[in-house]
This record gives sequence, C-alpha cells and structure tokens, in this order.
Amino acid sequence: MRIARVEVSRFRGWESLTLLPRGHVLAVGEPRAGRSDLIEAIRRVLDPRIIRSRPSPWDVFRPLGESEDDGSGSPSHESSVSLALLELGAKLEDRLDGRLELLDPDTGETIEEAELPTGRLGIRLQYTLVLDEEAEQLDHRLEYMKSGTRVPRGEHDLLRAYVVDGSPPLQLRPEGFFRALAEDLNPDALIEPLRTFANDIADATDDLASSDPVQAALKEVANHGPTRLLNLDRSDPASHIGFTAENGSLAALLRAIQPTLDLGEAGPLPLSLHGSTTSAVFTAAEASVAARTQGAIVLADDFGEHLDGSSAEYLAARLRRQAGQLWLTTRQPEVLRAFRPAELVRLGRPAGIRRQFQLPATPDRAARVRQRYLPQILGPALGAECVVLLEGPHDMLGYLAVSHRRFHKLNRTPLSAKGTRFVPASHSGGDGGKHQLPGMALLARQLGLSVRVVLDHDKPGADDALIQELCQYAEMVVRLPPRFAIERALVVGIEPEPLRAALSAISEEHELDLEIDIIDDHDLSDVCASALKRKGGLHEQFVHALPGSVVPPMATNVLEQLQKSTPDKPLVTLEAP
Amino acid sequence: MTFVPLPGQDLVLEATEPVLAVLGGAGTGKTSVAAALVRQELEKRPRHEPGSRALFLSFSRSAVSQIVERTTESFGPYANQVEITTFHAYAWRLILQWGHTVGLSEPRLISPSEAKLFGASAGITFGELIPNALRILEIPAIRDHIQRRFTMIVCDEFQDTSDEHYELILTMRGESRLVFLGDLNQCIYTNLPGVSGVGPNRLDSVLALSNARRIDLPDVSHRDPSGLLPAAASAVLNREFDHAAVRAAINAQKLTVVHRRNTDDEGPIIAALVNDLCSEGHSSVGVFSHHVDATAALSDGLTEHGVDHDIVGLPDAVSSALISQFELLRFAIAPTGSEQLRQPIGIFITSCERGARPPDLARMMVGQLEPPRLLQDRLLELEDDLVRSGSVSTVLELIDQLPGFLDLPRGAKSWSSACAVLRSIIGPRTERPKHSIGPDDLDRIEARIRNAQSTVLTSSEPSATAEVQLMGLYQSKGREADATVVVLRASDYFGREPEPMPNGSRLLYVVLTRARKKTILLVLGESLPGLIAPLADLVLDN
Repeated sequence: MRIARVEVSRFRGWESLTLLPRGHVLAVGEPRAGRSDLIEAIRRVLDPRIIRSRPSPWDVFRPLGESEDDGSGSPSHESSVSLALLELGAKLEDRLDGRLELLDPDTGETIEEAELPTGRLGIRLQYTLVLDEEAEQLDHRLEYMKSGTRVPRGEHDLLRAYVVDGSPPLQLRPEGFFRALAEDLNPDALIEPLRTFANDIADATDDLASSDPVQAALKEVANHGPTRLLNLDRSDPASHIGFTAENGSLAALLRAIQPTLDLGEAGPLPLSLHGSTTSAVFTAAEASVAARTQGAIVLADDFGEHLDGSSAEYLAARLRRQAGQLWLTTRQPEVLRAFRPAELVRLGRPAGIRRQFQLPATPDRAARVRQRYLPQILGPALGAECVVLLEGPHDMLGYLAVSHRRFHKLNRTPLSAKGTRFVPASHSGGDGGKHQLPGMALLARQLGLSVRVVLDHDKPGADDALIQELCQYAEMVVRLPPRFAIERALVVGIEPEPLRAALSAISEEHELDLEIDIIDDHDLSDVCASALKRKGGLHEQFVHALPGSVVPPMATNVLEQLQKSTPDKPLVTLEAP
Repeated sequence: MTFVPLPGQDLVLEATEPVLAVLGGAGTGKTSVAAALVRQELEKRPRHEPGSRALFLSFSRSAVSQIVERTTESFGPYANQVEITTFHAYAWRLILQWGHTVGLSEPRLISPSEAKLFGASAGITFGELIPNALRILEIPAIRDHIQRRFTMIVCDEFQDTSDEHYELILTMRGESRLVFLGDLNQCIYTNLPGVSGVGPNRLDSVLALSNARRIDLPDVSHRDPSGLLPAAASAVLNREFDHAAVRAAINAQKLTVVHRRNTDDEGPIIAALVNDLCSEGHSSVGVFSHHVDATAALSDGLTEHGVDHDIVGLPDAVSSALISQFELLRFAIAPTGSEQLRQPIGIFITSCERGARPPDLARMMVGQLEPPRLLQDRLLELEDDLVRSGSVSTVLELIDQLPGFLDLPRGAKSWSSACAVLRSIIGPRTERPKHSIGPDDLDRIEARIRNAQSTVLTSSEPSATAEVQLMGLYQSKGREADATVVVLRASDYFGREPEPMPNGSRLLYVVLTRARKKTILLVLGESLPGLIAPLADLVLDN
C-alpha cells in the first residue's frame, strides 16, 4: 500500500500542503517546517487509535482566521487531511471492492477519461476536524471521499499504518506492537499460552500465600483487630485473606513483564537499562517485521534520535526495503543514504510560510548523477535555511575556524546559529570543486534552500561564465578581491607580529622547517599563504594559532557579507583590506 | 447439508477441467450439482483471500430467486461468498460503481417504457447495460480487479446467452473456472428482438475454450421424480402427441388438458383452476400466459376473482406506477404544472401495453396527441382534487382510485402493487397533513423510490413469493412450482415456422417441465395456431 497524494488544509502548522510522494518518503528540513505535523496528519487518517480518541484543539491551524458558517449559524473552523491510497494489494482490493476508485497513479486524483488505461485502483480517505468556536466543541470524522460515508472500524483497521513512536519495544500487553506481531500469523495460538500464564501466576501467588511464614504473619496481623472488627472466623482468620497479582488482570500482568537482554557478563538486564540506543534498535526492528508481513505503510517521526548515524542508516534501509511505503523524518544526515533522491522531501519556511520541496524527475543523466551524490554533498545542510557553497574543504575549514574564533574571542554570533551551513563543492583540495558549484546550487535551490556562494578570485576574468551561471541559482555570490584565494583571505591584513607568531607555531607543530626570523615583513603574507597549502592544508590550524583575539580581516569581511540581506544583484566583489 | 451426487452428477464434482459445459434436461439437477461444485471449490480456499467468491449468473430475477431458494442450503457457511445475480443486475452494479469512468457519472436507468415513449436519450436503457459494463471492463485496472474476484463463475441457461452475455463472462473470467449449465431443448430466446448470437452454436464456442469438457446429465427429472411429465414434454418437443408418454402422464393425472372455445370468461376459468389446485394441496402454483399484455389482463382478472398472486416479470409496470404515484403525491404538495403528473402516467400506460409503439392514450397523456374532451376534464378534476386534498392519506386514496378514475384499460394490479410499496416508503407520514411534508421529506421519498425502481429493474434479490405466481411463458424458464397452469390462446402468436416447429416446440417443452406434481394445459378459443392445435385434440381423446 502506498500514499499517492496527501492534501492537508489548516491542520496544525500547515495552512495548506499538497504532496505527491514518489515512492518512499524521507522528510527532512528546517526546524518548525512541519516534519512532525506531516506525520501526524497522516496518522489522523491511518492510525485508527486517533479517531477512537478525543480530537485535539491544537490540531486546528492557528490563527483561526475567518470562520465558516456550517448552516447551523454557529461559527466553525475546519481542518482536513486527505490521502489517496494505491497498490492496496489483491486482498484489500477484494475486501474494499465497493470503496475503490480509479486513480491516477502519479497524482492520486480521480482519472481523466484520456488516461483510463493507466488508471490504478485505490481509495481516497479524508479526516475532518471541525471546531465549533462558540460551543467550544470539537468533532472529527473519517470518510471515504468517493461516497462521503464514514469508514467502518473493521475497514479502518485493515488500512492502518504502523507508527514507530516512542513506546517501548517487545511489549506483550494488548496494545503492544509486538503483541500484534505475535498474533498476526495465528490470532488463536496465543490464547492458550496467555491463559496458562495467568493461571500459573495465580497458582504461584496462592503457593506463596499459603506458605507457613506468610500464614503465620497473616494470623498475627488478623488478631490485632481485624478478626473482631471484620467478624473473621476466630479459629482461622488468615483463611479470609488471599493475594492476587496486579488485581488479577491479565493485561496488567502483561504490562508488568518487561523484556530483558543478555549482552555479556552482567547477564540479562531489563532492556530499558541497556540505554536508549538498544531500545531504538528493537523498536525499528519491530516496525520492520510488521512492514514485511503487511506491505504496510510505516510512519516514523524523528527517526534515529537515539541511534548513531550508521545504525540509523542501516535500520532505515531495512525498513525501507520491507515497508509498502516508508514515511520517515529525521535529523540524521546519514539516513539520507538509505533513500533515493526522488524520495526526499525537504520542508522549509521561506518567508515564514511552510513549503515542501522535492527534486524534479529529470531525463538529464548528469543531473541524475548529481542527485545521486546528494547525501554526500548537501546532506548536512538540509536542516538549514541557507547553504553557503564553497569551492573546497580548505575554504570550509578556514571560514569555519574564523567563525568559531570570532564567536569565542569576540562573541560574534556564528553563521550556524542563523540557520546557515557551509558546504564544500568538492571533498578534495584543488580546483575541481569550482565546476561542481552550479550543479550544487541548482540542487540546493530545488530543495528550497537559500543559496550563497563564496568564490576565490585568483585568476581575474577566468570565471565570468561560471559566475553568470551561479547568479541564476544563488541569491548572493561573494567574490574575493582580485588575486585572492582562501589562503590570502586568511592572512592578508593581519599585523606582522601575530602573523609571524601563528606561522611559527604551525611551522613548529607541522615541521615546515621555515626560518621565520629571516622573512621580511613585506613577504610575510605570501610565505604564510604558501605555507597554508602544505601538509594537505593547514588553514584551520593557522587560524587557531593566531595569538590573542586576532581574526583575519578579509575572511571576516566574507562572513559579514554572508550575513547581510539579499542584494539586488547577486554578485558582490569584496575589496582588499 | 451434504450433497449426495446422483449418477452423472458425480462426474461434475470430480471434473478438474477449467471449463465445464453441464447439459441436462429440465429437472435433471444442473443447478444443484453446480451449487455443490461451487461449495467444493470454495472449501478449498482460505476465506477472505482474494478470489474466495463465486458468481452465479442467470437471466431473470425470477430465475435468480429460484436459484437462491434451491441453493442457499447447499452453500452452507459459504452462502455469503456466492453472488447470485442476473447479467443485467451485475452490469448495473458495475455501472453504479465505475460508470463515471466512462462518462456515466450519475447513471439513471430508464425503463423500456420511458425509452419507448420519449426515446432513449433520457438515460441508460436496459439494453445498454451490458455494452456499458463491457466498456468499463476495457479499463485494465478494473478488469484485473474483477478478474481476481471469483474463483468460479456459473452461467445458468447458457444456451440462451447472447454474444454480449458471453463476452461479459469471458472478460470477467481471468483465472476463474467456468461452469455453463444448459439444455439445448430449452433454447427459447433465439428470436428475441435486439439480441444476437443466441442459439445452439453457443455450446460449440464453450467447448472450443481451452480444456473445456462436456458432461451430459442422465435424463431423469428430479423435479418430477416419476419422470412422467418430462417424458410427456419430450414427446411434445418432438411433436409426438400420440406418444405413450403423453398418454401415461394424462392417465396418471399429472397432465390435464382443458379446452374452452369461449375466451370471454378467461379470468373466472383460470381462477377456478388455481383454486382447485390449491385445495388439492399444492403449495405453489405457477400460471404461465403468453406475453406481457395478456399477462397483465389476466392479472386483473385473477384479482377480480379473489386469487391473491404475484406477477413475475412485469416489473416495468410496477416501477412506472410507483414513479407516477410519487409524482401525484408531489403534485398534491407542491404543484408545478400538468406535465409533472401526465408524463409519468403516460409512461405507466406505455408499460402496461405490448408493442414497439407507445399506445395512443399514453401519447395523449404526454401531449403527443390531442386528448379527448372527457379525458382532459378528468385530468383537470384530478389535479384539482389533489391540490385541494388535506392529508397524505386523502392523496393516497385518490392515487389508489386513479386507474378507475381515468378508465385505464390495463395495469390495475401493477398499480395497486405499487401503491403498497409507496405506502410502505411513506410510512408514518401517511397520517400527517400533506403540508407537513417538506421538500427534504419529498427528496428522501424520491431517493428511495428511484432506488426501488432500479432494484425492480435489476435486482437479484428474491422478491416475496406468493403461493400463486403469474408470469409470461418466456419467463417461466428456470422456475418451478408444485403445480402449473399453462394458458395457451387461439390469439397467441407463436411465429410462422413450419413443422416440426422447433422453436415453438422448445417453448412448449419448457412450460411443460416446470411442475413438480401437476400441469394443467388450458387451451382457449377456436382456430388454434398449428403449434398448439394438437394439444387441444388431446382433450377429445381423453
């Protein structure tokens, strides 16, 4: 089963959203851009527990805005989530025969006559929440969009999604996910073991209660008042008193038993004592099994919060393989590797309004190759508002070091605190990165990121075509002054004394064998700039080696320019200090 | 209930071929063995899995009701996994569900009479149901879905399937096993207008399907275990009227032939025969009469002589009456114009008459012809009475009396059947002043009536069965009763085929094999058509 279309109207923080997934969905994006609200919206339709519980007033989009008149004269506000579901599988299609519609497999909409041969069978469901403002009354319902009839409980259960949430794994209690798995293959087979379990506990409790020490103690307690006050049998007052575990309720007994895990010398320990990562591994594994048996839709919000990057990637890949459709939100960039670029949905808030972005399908091979390397190049920046693209890793390390130094020494807010991330176009040094910049800028733009670029200017006039291309996608292209590259941007403008001190420090630490004392002040910048390129790049180390609160002025100019608002014309060429 | 197969039937249950053509004479147990086969097939499959259903297709609602009666017990716990329906009802269901995909967003089924009076553009006619269903099944996703739905499709009376019926089965088939039940001797629909491909060559097309097998059930009737009636019918089929089997059936009083030269007192004669049969202890009596108009007239006659009965196969007249009555009610509450009630009454009048052209009276009602003064006055008077009436029950009384008031020549029984349905739909509102019925109430009533109309036209639900059922000769196929009265008139038209009159003989064979215990052949009039003349002679010999 898969969702082919999601439409959300005035639900939680989404005033409106239309999303057409292309396969599985990995939702990433800025904080407060609606990842959790998206998963919650889908749960409103596919998690039967929701419609059976009380609706929440916080599901209504705020501010409430104009109310609608529903005919009763009382002002009301309506929120809705509608889904088109396709690929239900032969069994579900058979059970839901009368509910089926012919839908467009790409858009989930009812099909146009010309497209009939490509139509697929599916159903459309709508969750509606109505807030009656005056009566302070909330009502919600789930309906088939085709007929407007309510979805019966039995049918809703067939359509349920598996929700990977914070509840503990391996729970045998009735509402547990694990219990459902144990019952899935043969619901009747578990009845007998559960009955035996309850009886055994009751027997063991009776045995304990009838033991001599317990009986003796009971007798003593009974004789201190209860026998007289409660009219107990004087010859055997303890016979009136028994014991039961968890009030004799099987559900409570099952809640009381918790999984243990034996991972070494300490022997079996309750799972909860093994730490959140271990529990998270089991939680994801349960969902994976459930998805496999049902081909179901799996929803996981903030996946990988308690997992390291590679475990998160591994478990996400497993879930993706098993689920009919996996909807996963995450802040872990590594999880991106488990998905295809087309499955990525980035949520952003350009101009304060929530929007969703997906990479367009493209026949262009180069574009597809670029999309495939997306995780490596843009992954860490997808949760930011703005990405600053740099030519290579030295640029990034150098500017980041300056940014940190400004924060620590001068208390200047770093760009990262303003939702901006640096990303190098190439992970190796050298010139290759520069030509990747336009493709990356385009990718970033397609995903709704604001794009700014910092360019060297070591060969004036050579990059005109590149700049022209970049200006199409980037809102700001910051170019260093003529004959400047990152190295000069880090050293030019620093007084000879601190420059000499920093050079001396890295020379000593990295065995550069420089005779600092004989270098003329006039040549110092050039020597320093050359030295930064040695040993695979010493940019970061150099910045950290600067004494006191000295920060490179040219690099500072770059950082300050990047914090300015969007210029009318993207290209900004800085002046030498 | 365990089904104990008789010789021949066991072959059907043991067969593994994907396509079976099961042939057997009337009453040889084709339906029963097919039901047992369906159950056997369903038992093999896990419930609630796709394809754990079977479809039983037949031609008429009446045949379907009988299949339901005869098979429900055999299906046992699997009964709700078997859909028993008519070709047209199945097609209508497909159109209701998927019609919007082929431009039929709000499909409205119009009655044959409506189409006859106003032309077919007003909606989907009966004849368009299957072609439209086939159009829907051209859509791959829908076809695939339908093809996965049934593990077995049983087609009853397959010798009468037209090309489009047969195409519908083959299109829906997918991997389903097909079982065709039939009897070439009962092939009586070959000359129906607007139908193509009906004939004995259908068997050839079935047997040409891959791995098809033909199984002939032995010629022993389970309907009449004495075998006397089927044997006599076989002799009549071969036009051997002096055959010993015919004589034996007459002597055993299984077959009685009555000839009356005077045709004026048809109603009382048949009423008397039916009453006799009932008092002899027969718990169900079927009365078969030629064609729609004669059947409608006979129905009125039976009513007049106190024989309570159901009409089978006149649903169009009943549903047209129901619509007319609703419009009369609506007119009484919210009159808009004369056409509001004249049009539906015109359709009702059309529905009670046979023929390709609408009757003049109907055309007068809808303004296609100038009505005579008297009729105009009556209609105005009716409108006046309706508008002036105070309560719903007064309106219903006026409606009840309409056939007499307008002096309608036919359809009194259909009209009163429809009145009963209308009363039940209106329910407790009957006692209210008419102005308390608001537009919403009217909409609700109309929705239920429209629904009832399409149910009447296409339903596969068995209708309430009375002890006495009246139907046309052609509708008798597939039905059975303890006793039957077959009415054959000098005025009935049986075609112009020369001896040995194969089509007409097959019709006689069908009507003579419907009774479990006794058949009365009532021949009326003089100068009898060649087909039935020898039957009247049997009386003289008697």
